[in-house]
Order: sequence, then structure tokens, then C-alpha cells
Amino acid sequence: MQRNIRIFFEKTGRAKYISHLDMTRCWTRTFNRAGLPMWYTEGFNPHLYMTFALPLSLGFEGLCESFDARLIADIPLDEVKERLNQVLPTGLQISRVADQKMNAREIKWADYELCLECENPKSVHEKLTEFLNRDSIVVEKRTKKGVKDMELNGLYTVLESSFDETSVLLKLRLATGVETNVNPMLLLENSPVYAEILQTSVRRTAVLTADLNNFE
Amino acid sequence: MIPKKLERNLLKVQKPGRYIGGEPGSVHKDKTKVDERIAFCFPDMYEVGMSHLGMKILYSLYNSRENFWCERVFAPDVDMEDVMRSEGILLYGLESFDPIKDFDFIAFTLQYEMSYTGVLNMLDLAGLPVRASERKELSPIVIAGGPCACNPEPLTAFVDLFLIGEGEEVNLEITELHLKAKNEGWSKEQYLHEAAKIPGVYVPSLYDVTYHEDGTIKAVTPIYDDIPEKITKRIIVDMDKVFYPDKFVVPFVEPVHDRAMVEVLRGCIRGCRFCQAGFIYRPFREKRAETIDKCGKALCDSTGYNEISLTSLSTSDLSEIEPLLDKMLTWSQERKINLSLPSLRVDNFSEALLEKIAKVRKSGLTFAPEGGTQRIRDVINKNVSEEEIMNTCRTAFEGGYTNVKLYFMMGLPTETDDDIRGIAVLAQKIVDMFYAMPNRPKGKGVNVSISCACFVPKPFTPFQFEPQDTMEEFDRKQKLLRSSITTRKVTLSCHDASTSFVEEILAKGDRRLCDVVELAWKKGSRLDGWSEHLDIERWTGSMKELGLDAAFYANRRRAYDEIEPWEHLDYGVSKEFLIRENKLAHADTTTPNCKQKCSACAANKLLKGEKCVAAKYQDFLRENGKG
Ligand code: SF4
Repeated sequence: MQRNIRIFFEKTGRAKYISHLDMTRCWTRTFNRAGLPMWYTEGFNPHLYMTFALPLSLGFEGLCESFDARLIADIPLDEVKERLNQVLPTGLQISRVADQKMNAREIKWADYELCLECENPKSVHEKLTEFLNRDSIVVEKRTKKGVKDMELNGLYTVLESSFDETSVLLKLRLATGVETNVNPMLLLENSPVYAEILQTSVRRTAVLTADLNNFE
Repeated sequence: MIPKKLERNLLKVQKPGRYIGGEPGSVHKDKTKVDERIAFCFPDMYEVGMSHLGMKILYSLYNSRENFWCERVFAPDVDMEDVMRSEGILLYGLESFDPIKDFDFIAFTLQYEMSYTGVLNMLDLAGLPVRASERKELSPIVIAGGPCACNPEPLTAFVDLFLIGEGEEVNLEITELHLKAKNEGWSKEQYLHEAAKIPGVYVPSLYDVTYHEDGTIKAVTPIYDDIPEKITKRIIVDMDKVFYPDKFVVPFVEPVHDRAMVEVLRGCIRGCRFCQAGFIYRPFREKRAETIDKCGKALCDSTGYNEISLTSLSTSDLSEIEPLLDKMLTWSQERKINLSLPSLRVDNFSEALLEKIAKVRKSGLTFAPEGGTQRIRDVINKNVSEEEIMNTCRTAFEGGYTNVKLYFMMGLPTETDDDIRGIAVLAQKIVDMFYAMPNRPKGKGVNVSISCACFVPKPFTPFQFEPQDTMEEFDRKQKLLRSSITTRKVTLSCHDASTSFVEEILAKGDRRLCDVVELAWKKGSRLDGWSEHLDIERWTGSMKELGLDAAFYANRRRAYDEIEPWEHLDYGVSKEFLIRENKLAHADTTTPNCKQKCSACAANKLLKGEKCVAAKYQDFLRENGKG
């Protein structure tokens, strides 16, 4: 008996400092602690099979992260969720365990909430708004093949922006997926206000398909 | 919640996961509901400290008491230290993020001499004076234990109280006394004086040291008559009943040893004369297979590890090793859990045993003959013959292994150039044997890698009287060994002699070295266990500046009747025994192991009347119909 499952989880608080590499070890042990029999790869160095749809950068929080794994026993998916949640460290929590409805290639967008702490939120907000409204933002992007220029216009939408006494708050929708991937920090680092930001908190709040449905 | 100041800087440092705690298995309590808070400090980085079994045991032990809360603290890496110093972040406990200077105890484990300046650096990062005499309050009390506490003198100016021997009982006793002291409003002096009466507790400020004109020690005298002249180490008599954690903290960031560990025995029957652990942990006491198996299973369940190691100084000496492996393999294989046995010995590595571990372990094999010739192996009492080494390698090759790693030492007492060349000769013989085997693993070459350490004579061993080779001599011997190797099938790596030199000075040093440790730290020494951070100049320069002669500590033969800096500590083995063993070494004569015959080392007195190894083993043989 084998069943491909997709696990949706939240990564918040202290857990955002767990690197992607460390996450796979962490999940393997979580399955073991939960006593859930999972499929291991064959070969010289077998490991628990796991594929992440969209790795999260170190230091980001995420509310709808997901990865795929393969269950090798007939256990109801709600029970899988319960058993995992009982043994997960603080900051990691399963929201849903389901069958794999879509292909990870269908992911096209992701929404982010950014909280930018700064000395003068009003002026930072003004400058940032001006920047995000430009017709063209060309940035250098480092890829495996070297540095190349990238036009960001069309690859992001500002969903919301505001400020309070301490910070600028920004909700962005960014092109995401196998072909194009825009990290919110790329946009920020190229903005004129980057040097004024004391601390950036980033939270990924949604992972979406081309027609803006949740990735399932 | 992570404090703001810390949070703002975490992404600026390498591997921030080391500084945030919150791992599965970590213990969180309500600080308003606990009486005593303990910061358990490992004076090296997270990856090293989180691999350490003693820390896991004591962390769980403290936290098993409802009113005690023990947190973990590690030395920050250099980038994090910079951030902490520039942002004014004080060293904090990983569980609560509270500054440890407000705790009741700051407890260090001393695993190796090169971490001593790390102790000072951590106290300084905590915002405390490094010198014990400048910390006047009842809290925090700075304590230290671990193997290096067997000669704690070079740290006596900084640590308030040392725990001698095994900590499972005494750690709790001094914590309870501290609670009483707080409730009754004692001064720090009053507390230390009372604590010094507890067996296994050494309060260095309560002992005076006087010296002869030649710099050797004249006497170590307690300043009160109600504290002992000699401090005897504590041990746990019944290993089957000792506290053992059923949970470990499972790190996010990968430590050096990332696995569950179950302690199978304490002490060692062997009596290899160079090995400090072999003497200071005497007598040998083992757990029953059933206890170990239960513990191991519980740990795998609670941690989710895919690997478990059976930990001890010499796991194959466990009387019930084969039944234990049988028991453990029944559940571990099915759950894809690897069993690993890190300390196997060459001589009793039976075929049946190899077959059992071959089922689960596929990496290379390591052996430690330690000496290149039979003569030098007799001197160091490493009772393993060339035939046994060859047989073990053959068995390994037949089992499909093509890499063997052999550990040796140079600078051993009575060593000649023939003994050094003998290392290369032995490695060559192993290579030749491989190619002479008709049934050798096909299509693969053999690789014999040799790792050669510089010998550091240590306290409480029969070699404590011996001088260490000078750096020049080590250098010459390393060149000699390198030139004696004539095949590419043998690879050699030699340890850095200068590290061993500093280790020796600290290992056999007296109180006057406290100033050296402090000065070396001020010059920037910390994390010296990492070769990229070690600058030997800081140490040699400090010695010179303070007018101390390094050779006096490291390269001098000590007379049998000289009072050693650690002689007021009693680890069970008597000095008479060490002298006897030293003389036997110089006569190239071996001593049988404890199971074969008791050599009257005197450690049996620690068992409070219980039978020691030799007698117990006779009982075991009778019970199993082999006697
Ligand atoms: S008293 Fe005898 S049996 Fe016991 S540890 Fe010492 S030498 Fe070994």
C-alpha cells in the first residue's frame, strides 16, 4: 500500500531559522517520532522521500508551505496530521494533509507580507511607493549561469501598502515557480530605501496558480 | 519569543539555527515557578556540544526535578561573538533567552584542555568577571566537571567549585544546598564552605598551595579542618539503575554526531597506559543488555533518529554484547535504524560480531593499534598482536571493506626510530595482505589511512611521570614516518605538535598557569579546538611574558615522590599502582585486563563493598556455564 500525499504546513516564529537543508532532517525525524511508516528511496544511502514545492528562504515565515511524501500504510489523512502535530517543534504546524491534486509546475504566484522596520516610516513608504510604481525596474539576478539582467515590471503586484509609527507594511504578489522566481528581497535590495530598513520580516501567505487559485 | 536585538542580527550570522533553541526535546518551564536555574555551558560551538552525551544526561537529570530548570549554552562562533559584543547582547540560555548571569549556576563541562579559554570567554560574554574572587554574590556559582576536572588547577582562579567524578548525584546535591543557602541568606563563602563538605566537591579557594624553590609543589592544604584533605571522586555503583534520559534534544543544525546514543558501560577493563579515560573512569561497570535495549528503543521512539550508537570506551567489552545486538537488530533493521559501535577493539572483534554489524554499517572501519611494533604496544599495554590486527583487517576485507583507518601515536615513552618506522611497515603489510587475498573485493584498490597523534602524557595514568617529546623531536619523527611510507595505498595524516604541546602544559599544569590562561584569552584565544582559530603564539607568548618555563611543565620527567598538582584529588587508582605500571612499561611488560586478573589498582574501594570487575566476571562466566 502506497499513497502519495501532500503536507501543508506553517513555519513561524523560531522555526523560520531552520534552513531548508535542516528541514528535511527535521521532517524525517518527525515522521519517525509520529511512528508513521513512509517510503524510503532505494539504493546505497536510503532516505525518506520528500519533495518540496517551493523552498522557503532562511528567515522567512510561511503559512502555506507544502511538500510531498509517500505513506506506506493505510492511515486516514486526518490522523496523519494529528500524529505529526503532536510531535512537531514549536513554529512548525501541519494545517492539512491531502492527496496531490496539482503539479508543482502549476505554481505561478506567491503572496508575501513584509514588515519593514525603519526610523522614518512615512518617508520610506513614500519613496517605496514611487519605486514600486515605476514603469521599469531592471535588476541584476545571479543565476547558476552567471549574472543577468531581469525586468521586474509585470512580475509583481502591490496588493496593499501602509505604514505605522515603526514600520512600513507591504503586501506583494510575486511571480513564483519553476521558470520565474522573484524573491521579495530582490525587489527590496534594489529599492532606494534598502539602507534605511533596520529589520525586515517576511511572511509568505499564499501560493497560487496562474488563475490565482490556491495550490493544492 | 526571540528578543528584538537578537532577532535583528540573526540573519547576519552563519547558521542562526544554533542560537535560537526550540528544538524538539528542549525543555521549557515557567521561570516564576522554578527555584534554581542552571546554565549548562559547553565551551565550544553548538555542533560540538550537541554531540556530547554527558551534557544530554545532566540536562535531562536537572530538568527531571520540577523546581530546577537547566538550559543549554554554547560558545558562539566568531561572527556571532562580534555581533553580541557590538550590540550588547549578553550570553543567554537557549531555552529562555535570559542572560545567564542571572542564573543560580553556570556549569561548564571540561572535555579538552583547548577549551579552557572558551570558559573565560563565555563568562566574559555573560557579563561576569572571569575571576572567581571578583564574583561576590551567592548567584551565580560557576562550577565545572568532566574529564579535565581531574587536574583543574589551571582553571582554579575562575571556577568556584569543581565536581570530581560522575555527576548524577552530586550535581543535584550542590543545587539543593544552594537553594537552602538562598532561603537562609548565606554568603557565597558560607555556601562554598558547606559545599566543600559534600563528597566529590572541590572548592579550590579553600586549599592553599605552597611550592619548593625548584618550582615543584611542597603541599596542598585545606584552610579549614572540616573539609577533606583529599577529595575522592563520586561514582554511580549500579549502572543498571542510574538515571538515563528517555529524550534528547534533537538539533536542527547538524552536529558532529547526529544520532541517538545509549551508554552501555562506564570505565574500561583494559588499562592502556596512555589512556586517561581508561583510569579516571575506573572501575568498569556495565549495564544489562535488557536495560540498554529498552533505553535505546525509547530514545529512538522519542527522538526519531535513524541512527543509534552504543557508546562507551570499549563497547565490545560489554559482557552481553552479542545478545544485545541480537535484541536491537530485531527492531532497528525493520525501522531503518542504523546501529553504530564507535569504539570497537581490534582484538575481540569476532567474526560473528562483524557479521552482525555489517548488516547495518557500510562505511569504513577504524582500528587503533596505537603503536607500530609489538615492543611499543607492550610498553603502552595495548594488548593487541600483529596477528590480531592482520586477522581483523582480513575479516574486514572479506566482508567487502576496502578502507581501513589506523590510529597511532608518536612520542610514546621508550620509543625508538624503529617503532616509528614500524608504523609504516605494519601499514605496508596490510596492503600486501590485501593484494595476496584471492577473494579480495574485486575491482577496488585498498586504502590504508594512518592517523598519527602526538602523545600527551596525562594525569592519573602510569605515564603521568613522563616528559613529552619536544616539538623538534615530534617534527623529526613525523618526517621520518613520512619518508618511511613508500606506497600511495597508504595515506598519512599527522596531528599538529604545537596543539599537543599546549595540551600537555595545561593537562599537567598547576595554579600558576591560571595567569597564562587569562593572558592567552586576552590575546584572543578561544575556540582553540579549531585549528583555524588556534594561534600557538598566544600561548607561548603568554608563558614567556609571565616568566613561566613551558619545558618545566611539558618536557620534564617527574620523580615518583614529587607532589603532583592534582594529588589532592583521588580518582580511585592509587599512586603506587601508577608507579608499578610505569615500571612495568619501562620493562616492556604488559598487565592483564581487569576481567583476566585484578591488578589491585585500588579503584574497587569506590564500589563501597560491591565486587569489582575481576570477581564479577568470574560470576558471569559461572552463570553462563563458561567458567
Ligand atoms: S580493583 Fe582490580 S578489577 Fe577493579 S578496576 Fe582495579 S584492577 Fe580492575
